[in-house]
Formats: sequence, structure tokens, C-alpha cells
Amino acid sequence: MSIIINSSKSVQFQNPFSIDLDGINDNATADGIFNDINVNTGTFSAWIKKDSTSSNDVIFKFDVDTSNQVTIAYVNSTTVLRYQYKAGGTTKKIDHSVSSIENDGNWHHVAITWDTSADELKAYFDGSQVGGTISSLGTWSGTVNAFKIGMNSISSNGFWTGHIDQFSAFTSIVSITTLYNGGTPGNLTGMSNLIGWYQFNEGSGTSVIDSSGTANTATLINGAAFSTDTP
Amino acid sequence: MSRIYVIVNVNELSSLDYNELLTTSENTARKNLAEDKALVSYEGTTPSTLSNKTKYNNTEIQTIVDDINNGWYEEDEE
Repeated sequence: MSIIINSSKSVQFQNPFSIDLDGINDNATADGIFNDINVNTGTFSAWIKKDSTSSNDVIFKFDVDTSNQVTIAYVNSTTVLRYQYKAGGTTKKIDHSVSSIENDGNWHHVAITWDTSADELKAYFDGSQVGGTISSLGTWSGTVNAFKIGMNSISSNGFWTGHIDQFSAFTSIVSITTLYNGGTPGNLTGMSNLIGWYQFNEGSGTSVIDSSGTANTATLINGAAFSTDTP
Repeated sequence: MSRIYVIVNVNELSSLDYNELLTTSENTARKNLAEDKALVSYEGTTPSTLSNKTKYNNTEIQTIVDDINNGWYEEDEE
């Protein structure tokens, strides 16, 4: 009798957990990703679910200093999602109004792309480009030395209140159709230029596998917890 | 089990046992803008080093840190 093993069968994509951040001090960090980030061309993407807040909440930020940083954040006073690329002190940002996002009970997808060669900054919300294409990007200076999910990487504030899931980072421009995937997180396995993919599927502990294959493991900080609430 | 938050002086952070806290370490504890106070949290039994401190639940501490007059955040975080 012989046994035939079907080695070509792919592993089914699953998304059993997200992370739930308290808006007080929870966050996640992945120090190893610093050296892989391309400050001149990139795409960062995440699924978010926003609880109510009365302060500004950061989805992610990486930086060299206050003059060189990339972020997506919720600005409480104007109820907008702010997609910002700041290089050499030149701030370029797209503010997208999301007045009903707090406690709406829905997951949303956000993505930012930047390409200094094409001189383009773009923002996406729930699969659509928002705010037009921004040009006249500044010139980046310095090496990235901080990256945070769910808080400001420059100072001890901007803590996200709510859930974040399926965070991905690329060193190229990635199609929003691929990332949004019709409104459901998709399998990014094998995609080119993927330098960080945090699915938060562990369900326990504080270590988060980087599914991109670059081994930029993330760590949950200050009690950030896994949640079965997923997009 | 609900989380309990405590505000301590920054110079007290080094004396805390982080095995008893949800706060990861002295370095990751949230500091106020003046960096003279810090926020730590735990679940369950109160660590002895925090027994005499004021305890806050999530709603109570959120009210404190989200009040711009209390010095825990700045409106412009660019």
C-alpha cells in the first residue's frame, strides 16, 4: 500500500483574532522593521474598528524625528482620518472625514501609499481613494528609528481606542483592490515587497508572528490583548 | 477581570515588579508630557507597591488622560 501526500494543497487563510487596544497605554511595536521600511516608496494597510474617544488616536506611525514621519491617525477634534507623509519638515496630509466612525460597530480598511519618484501621496478608506493625490512631497532625512502600531512613535500619547487587525507593510505601491479584497481581509502570502504582516492570530501571549517572511516579529505592549472580534 | 490603572511618580517606576503588572516595563510605561508621572496597570491582586495609590478603572483613567488640561497629551501630535 502506498500513501500519497498532496504537497500542493495550500493552507486556508484564517483570521480568528485581532488586537483590542485600551486607548490608555496599549500598543504594539516591531523594532526589526526599521531597516526594511522604504521611506521613498511604500504602502501600509490595516483593518480598524474604532471605539469612542476624546483624544487623537494613532493607527500607526514610524519616524526618524518630528520632521520625518509617516502616519495614519484619527483626529478627534475634526473627526477625520489623517494620512500624513512628512519629510524634511514638509507636511503633506490628507484628511478624510469619518464623523460616524466612533462606535459604529463596523470594521473599516485604511491604507496609505507614498512614492517620491512619482511624487504622489494617496489615501484609501474602505477600498476607495479619498482626498485626491497629493504632490510636492519633501525629501526624507535620516534613518527610521521608531515604529508603533496603536500609538504615537514620537511621544507617549495617541493611544488607539478599539481594534486593529491584519496590519501589512510594503516597500512598493500595492493595489487597493488587492488589499481591500472586496471588504474582507485576504491572504497576502507570497506578495512581493511585503516587509511586515501582522495578522494577530496568536490568541495569547505578547509575541506576534510576522507572516511576511521577513521575521520582523511584533510585541504587544502594556497589556494589549487579543480579541475574537475580527473583520 | 477588569483592568486597574494607577498613576505613579516616574521615579517610582524602577521599584515596581513588572511580573505583577500588565505594563511591560519601565521604558514602556506611559508618561505625562512633563515626564514626571507615569501610568501602570494590572489585573487581579493589587501589587503591594501600589497598595496606597489611587486606583482607576478604564473609564476613570480615560477621563483623566484625555483631558488636555491634565497634561497627558497635546492636541497637535504631528
